[in-house]
Amino acid sequence: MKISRRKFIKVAGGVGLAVAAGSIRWPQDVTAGSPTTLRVLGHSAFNEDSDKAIITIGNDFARQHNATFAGDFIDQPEVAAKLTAEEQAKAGHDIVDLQDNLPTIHKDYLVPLDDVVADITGKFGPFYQVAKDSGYVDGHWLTLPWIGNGTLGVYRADYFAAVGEQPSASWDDLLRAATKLKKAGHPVGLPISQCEDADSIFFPLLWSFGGSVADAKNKLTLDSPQTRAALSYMRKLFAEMDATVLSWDDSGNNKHMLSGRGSYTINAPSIYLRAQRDKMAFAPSMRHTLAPSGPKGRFFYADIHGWGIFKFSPNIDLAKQFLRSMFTQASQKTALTLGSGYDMPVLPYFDTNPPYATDPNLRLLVGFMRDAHLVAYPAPPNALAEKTYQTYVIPNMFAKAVQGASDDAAIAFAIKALTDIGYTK
Amino acid sequence: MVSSTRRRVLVTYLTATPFVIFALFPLVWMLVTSLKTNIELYDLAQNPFLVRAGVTWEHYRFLFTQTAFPLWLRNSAVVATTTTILSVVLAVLAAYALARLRFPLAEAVTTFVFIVYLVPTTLLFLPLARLMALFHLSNTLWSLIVAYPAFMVPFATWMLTAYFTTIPRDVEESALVDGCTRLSALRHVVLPLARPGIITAALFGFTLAWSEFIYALTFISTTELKTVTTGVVVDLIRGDFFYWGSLMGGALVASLPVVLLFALFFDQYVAGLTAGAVRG
Repeated sequence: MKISRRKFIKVAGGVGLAVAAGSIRWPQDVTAGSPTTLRVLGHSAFNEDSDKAIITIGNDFARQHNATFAGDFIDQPEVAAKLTAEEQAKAGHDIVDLQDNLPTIHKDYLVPLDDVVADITGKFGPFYQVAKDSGYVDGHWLTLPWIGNGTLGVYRADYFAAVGEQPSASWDDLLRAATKLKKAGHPVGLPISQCEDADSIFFPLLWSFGGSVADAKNKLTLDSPQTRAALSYMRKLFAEMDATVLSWDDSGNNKHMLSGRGSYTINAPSIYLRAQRDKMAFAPSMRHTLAPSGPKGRFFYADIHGWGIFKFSPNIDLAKQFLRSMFTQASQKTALTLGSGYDMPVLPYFDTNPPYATDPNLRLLVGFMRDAHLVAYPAPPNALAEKTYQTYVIPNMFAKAVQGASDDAAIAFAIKALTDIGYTK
Repeated sequence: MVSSTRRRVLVTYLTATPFVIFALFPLVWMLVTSLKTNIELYDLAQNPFLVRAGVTWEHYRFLFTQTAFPLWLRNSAVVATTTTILSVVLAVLAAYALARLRFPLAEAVTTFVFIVYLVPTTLLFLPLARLMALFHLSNTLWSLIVAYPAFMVPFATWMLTAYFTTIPRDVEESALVDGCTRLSALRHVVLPLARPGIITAALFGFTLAWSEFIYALTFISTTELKTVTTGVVVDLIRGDFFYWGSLMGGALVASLPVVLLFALFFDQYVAGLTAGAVRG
């Protein structure tokens, strides 16, 4: 049957009008008569159940308070534009998810939550320091820490065994194993690129060699023998990896491991959990170990997610009540059970025997937050560190070094970027 | 004679082939990826252009049953169609005035309209977000329907102004002499002649609205109200896990309406684009 353009326009127009008539309601129609709606903006976690946990807790709370709960979840890279638009519009969500040092960036728009935190810590004791680093800004709690995401060494036990290696305890162990594993056709893979995974690997690497971006007073300390040692090490490790690590996004090391080719990376438990859930053939060989230690010890990086309430929210009191309700025994059980080890407690009280601790590969995460740091370390949390994190200055420095730049050139590049951000020499 | 014709056909096809491959590559890539099992997708030893381990419809099943994809498609269709009609109507009136009516600073206004189109949406989304909140349009499809003409109208106006100037004034003036009013001359004489230009402007406008991202991301929060561009990206990328099969399937299905429209109106589109080529 030949469809003429005229016929197509008529049919498509008719269908379009019918659909439009059914789907566009005048805004007042949507809101008129509704009970109070508590709107929450979260990041969409790898683990879908993490979002479901928030919705479950939210719906339970809403039922008890004659309100409705609306949980919206977006991927992390889109959060900045969304928050900025809502702050400029002075409208949008009541409660927003702010990761790591973001509270320092958005502090002018956030309601102090000292009373909420006092109630919670009064019942369950203090938060881990890394959680406080995220939420406590200029003498006030601006976000209520909610969960943390940790990173671990993810490795294939069968590949390591085949080359006679144990899971790497130190960076030197990893380099030795990487040489053998590359020859065996199963290279180690760490992203040396502009992605959050790279940040989460290279800050702890730098710390473990004794280096840091800035001191406690935010004065740059990057140009040091320790940084040079870390660069030198990474050049050697890069020689044992696929060159594609320079172009990986956050899914790069997931693909590397889930393809069955990769033998080791550092990541959140998402790779392990995906292999288990999809019942991949090699899932039993996928294991976790602590990230490697360096000459100055082992350092952990964590993403901390906390809830802030916008000052322009029409429901500040209700939002505070909701945040209190997130820290009950029942709510935490819901969150940590559905969180499956991807989400870890930020209160030591709930970290004694979390639901996922029965899995030996996730047990390493119990108490992980005790020694974890945000990227500002050893400086206190601040906006400069967040900008450094968001613009991938440190991964870029390592990327330059492994591609032939001298130590001086790579460090000079990073220092230029850091001073542009606002650090002082 | 025959050999000359064959050679011409051969040269034509040989010349066109690289461009066809270039144009079709993304669609083929999306199709192949969307039909592979997850295990094959992750297997680096497999040929990325072939489905070797059997076709799966699982990614499409997931897309249509486990996500709000059908709603995102509907929302995109509603917003793109409504804003295209609105923008083209406004642009026809503006372009006609700029091309035909004599008033002070007409040329400057034409240039200004084009400059407005050049202002990136990434600069405009913040003040527009404020306006949407002020008018209580945030998190409704109306926010997009109101906002999209801000970049669609200047573009369509600029395009149609150029097109209207290619239509001989004599035809229109004859109609005025015969008793037509300015509006009826526009409707009965100019618009039929300008149909290829209007269709081209509408196609471009529809494509712009269909693919818009930043307004859709910042003005809309509720999953069920998202458009396909934001819904696919925001809901199918979760942390460091990408639903590659469904992402590619979603992108492929979402591109089909635009492909279909261009295919249906291809001749008009080419006529619209080339109309200005012989002007003057």
